[in-house]
Amino acid sequence: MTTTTEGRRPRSVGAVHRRRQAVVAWLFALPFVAVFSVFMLGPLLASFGMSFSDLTIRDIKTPFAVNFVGLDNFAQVFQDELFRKALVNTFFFVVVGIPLTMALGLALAVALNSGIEKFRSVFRVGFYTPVVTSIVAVAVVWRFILQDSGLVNTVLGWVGINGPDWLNDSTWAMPSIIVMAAWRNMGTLMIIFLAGLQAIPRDVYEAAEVDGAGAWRRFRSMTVPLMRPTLLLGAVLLSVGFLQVFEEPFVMTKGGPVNSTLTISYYVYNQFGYGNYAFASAAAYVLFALIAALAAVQFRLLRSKED
Amino acid sequence: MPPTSSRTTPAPSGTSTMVRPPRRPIRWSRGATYTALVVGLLLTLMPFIWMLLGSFKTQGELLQRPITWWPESPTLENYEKWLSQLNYGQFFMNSIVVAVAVVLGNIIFCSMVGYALAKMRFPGKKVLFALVMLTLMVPGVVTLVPMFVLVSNMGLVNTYPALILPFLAGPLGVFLMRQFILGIPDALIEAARIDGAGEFRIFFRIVLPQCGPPLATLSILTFLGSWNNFLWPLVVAQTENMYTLPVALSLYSVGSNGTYYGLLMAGSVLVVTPILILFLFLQRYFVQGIAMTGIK
Amino acid sequence: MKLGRKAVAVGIVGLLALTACGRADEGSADRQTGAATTTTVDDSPATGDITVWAMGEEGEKLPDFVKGFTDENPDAKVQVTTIPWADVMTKFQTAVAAGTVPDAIMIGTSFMPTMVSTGGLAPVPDGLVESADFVEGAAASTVADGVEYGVPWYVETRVMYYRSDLAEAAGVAAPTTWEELTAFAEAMKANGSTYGLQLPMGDAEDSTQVILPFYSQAGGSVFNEAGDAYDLDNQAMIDALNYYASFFTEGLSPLAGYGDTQNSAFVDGSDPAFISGPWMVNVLADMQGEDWVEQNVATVPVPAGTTNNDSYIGGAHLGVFNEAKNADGAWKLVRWLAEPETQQEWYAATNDLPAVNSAWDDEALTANPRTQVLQEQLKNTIAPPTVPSWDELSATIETEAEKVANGQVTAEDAATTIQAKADALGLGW
Repeated sequence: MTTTTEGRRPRSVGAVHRRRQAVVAWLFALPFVAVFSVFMLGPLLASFGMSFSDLTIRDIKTPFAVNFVGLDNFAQVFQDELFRKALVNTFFFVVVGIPLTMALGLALAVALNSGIEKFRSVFRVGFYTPVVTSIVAVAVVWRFILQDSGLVNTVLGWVGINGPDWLNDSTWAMPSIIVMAAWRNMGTLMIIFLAGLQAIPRDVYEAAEVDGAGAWRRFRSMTVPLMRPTLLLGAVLLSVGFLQVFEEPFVMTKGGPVNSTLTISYYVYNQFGYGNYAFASAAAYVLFALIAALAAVQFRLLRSKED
Repeated sequence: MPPTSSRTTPAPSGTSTMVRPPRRPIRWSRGATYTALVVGLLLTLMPFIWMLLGSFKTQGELLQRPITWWPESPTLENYEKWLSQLNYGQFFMNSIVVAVAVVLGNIIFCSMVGYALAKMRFPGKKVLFALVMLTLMVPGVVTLVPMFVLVSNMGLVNTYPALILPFLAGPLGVFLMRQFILGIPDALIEAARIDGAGEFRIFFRIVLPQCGPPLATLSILTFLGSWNNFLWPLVVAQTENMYTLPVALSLYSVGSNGTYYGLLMAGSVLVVTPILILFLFLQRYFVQGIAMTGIK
Repeated sequence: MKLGRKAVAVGIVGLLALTACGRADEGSADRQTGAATTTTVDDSPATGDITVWAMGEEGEKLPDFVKGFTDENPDAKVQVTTIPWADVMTKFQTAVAAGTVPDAIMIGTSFMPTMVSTGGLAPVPDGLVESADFVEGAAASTVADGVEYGVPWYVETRVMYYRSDLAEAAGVAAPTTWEELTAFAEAMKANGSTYGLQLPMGDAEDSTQVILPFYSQAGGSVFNEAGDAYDLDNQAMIDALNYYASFFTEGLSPLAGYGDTQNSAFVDGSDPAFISGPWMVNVLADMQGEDWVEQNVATVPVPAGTTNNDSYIGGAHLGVFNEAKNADGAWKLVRWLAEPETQQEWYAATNDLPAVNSAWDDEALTANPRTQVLQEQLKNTIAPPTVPSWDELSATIETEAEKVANGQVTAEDAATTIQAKADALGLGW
């Protein structure tokens, strides 16, 4: 934005106008700022302060009688083997899960935008259903589908593959969780991508079709580049959510077997449960830093492609 | 999935489409697309369908393995328990009151601050927006204890304000509204300013009427968030008359002897249905809203 | 970014705001000094509102049940809030932090130490109840750091369930020792079952509830003689881990643990035995009907190791908050719930086993052979250690046991790892 350059030209009428606008602007922002400061920033800063202390559940009645321990908690977080394992697991989840979910969401969006008219609403609502369905209630059927003699292995058996006991195999548990997360999140991405697709002018495609470009080529050389900002937005939203993945391992594997599906959020949750508040906060802020860093990188990509 | 099948389908799939002018640029084979979509939809909905069918099963049947699909002896007792024995009406009302208040708050407050951030110059603007963006990324668990201490010191425990206030204006709404309002032509607003219209008038008469789609998006997202919110209502609601649906759901469907799956599934169906209905009605605007805000 | 200084300023304001409304002034009412303020509770009727938090089925049944109390104490009113089991600690922590506590709370035995460590619970007043009246393991688990913080309400202990019809076909009798249990599982497997015994696996299934008894059966004790440190790197731990793991390595138990098929595998005979609590009778009856359970399911005390046949004891206690508004009324309610007659009525209402020894004279209990097995088992129990760090340590034990069962580490190495974690944690007070 260009506020600063204009601000350097002092013109008295402009200055008065600017001051008035600033007051009005803050008036507009006031209700939000009030709620935001009290219920978001306050607790946030309190918990941030907490991460530099030795607060545990024992101090819960006297939270200000704790000691300042500097960066000790952060050092300990990184020294904890289990945290490192959670970090690796989370990265695996993100690196495999984001492309998979994006691909599914994009496939759905392209299919729904391909000119079909009938039942479009039905499909939209149907594919969006997993987003709103209680994960606890459907976890049962997911576990059944993935169990040793479950649906997936039955189908694999037809083609002669002897499938693993997905959720109880430390190699396959995380991939199973990823598939479930993709199922739950593809609906949101479908909506975002549909929105992006609808914003692409029709004539762009029509011109390409006249040129005789095949569907796949049109998809690759036109849809994807034109959709880049939308794709990146989807990637950002998904990264923010996926780095915090908790519910899927919580209802499916409880972090097991042998911690192979323990994620950072799950680790933080456990530490809070053990009453190690300060330590848990430190771990949570490490997670926050990761999310912010990844989002910043993605936003930068978003920007540079736009310009 | 669909993209791969399209390579072999240059020809239109039926005469009926030939009659219509070639309005659609991409001519997928409709049949292939529909087949893929229907198969995909069935796969996607399978867990949901099982949940729906499961809500009519007895606990004994739900504990059987291999699981059954069709209820062997269909029963309505799960729904009966929710609707008659348990205070479903009260939980539903609580959820509605909270969700509607939260949606209204977000619609008004977030579009106000969104307008200020998008179209006005004021000191602290960048800081404010940066803070909003940062808080979008904070893992929720960390603020639970400080927030509860705060709310209880305000004397709000076990009240509607405790359930509503913390969510009345969220960062996501600010982000969405700012992005959308950025796209409203400056000329429109400048013209009104030159005509001497005050900012509040401009906001209510010019900006807000154009914000339909993003407000629909915001409504769905905040309604969904509020409707499914579990941890906070659980902590601040101390008596049954303040419980929201998710709290009640977890409370009554898990006993010391394990989960009452039938109750859980029937309850889940009752919780999800209003959302799906809402989505069915608002989906068009939902997509538009994201289209107009997301690509900026 | 230029946001640094302002953020700090806002932060300080935020923290000050929290300080201002914090409860530092009440900080003195913590665990240690709380012990000194023990009062007595007289025999006059209870008065006023008494608020109680209780979990699950107990929470659902209690509101009607306390009518017996309010009949005797007409000036008292009891209000029960039901809380999901999974979320009790969250509610408890936030309530204590904010000082918005009820008067009394139901305490799952394993929550006891953590709850006590917050300083939220008040010590049991002198002379309110006589701890010798209670089932031994239950009474022991109300004591944390040398002070009683709860009154036992009901107990549960784990016994062995097996398919009597299949055992007969396999030609084996109820096992009474570790060796016999292994032989029993082998015989069941030889008889056509896929596995011989169901065992829990990992943190997800709280496998310490089986491993801790194995450890005790092998002669281990959780603490050193002084009681001020964990003592887990020893032969008993190695024996317990090896014994637990042997069922998995020899294919007698599924590595997946109970999974989702615990009940169905028992019913269809593919995994025909397990060690679990009294509630399983109802779960099985729900699936197959009471007659089937009567005819095909045997319950016996758990087999003994080299030292004893200790089994896990759980259940719940009742506690009263330090900051309770009506502590007197709450303690009177707790005392009433621990009376033998009330305990018998409670058993009739819920099937919860009495925590009071004399309540076991009731015919409803003595006439039921399965309850008799439970009563016999209650003589030999091991309660989860009442120190705050046990919760976190047990996760390590469970993960290490899982690794031993998977053949990833030896029991010796696992015991060393467990002890290292135990030393790092301390007792947690």
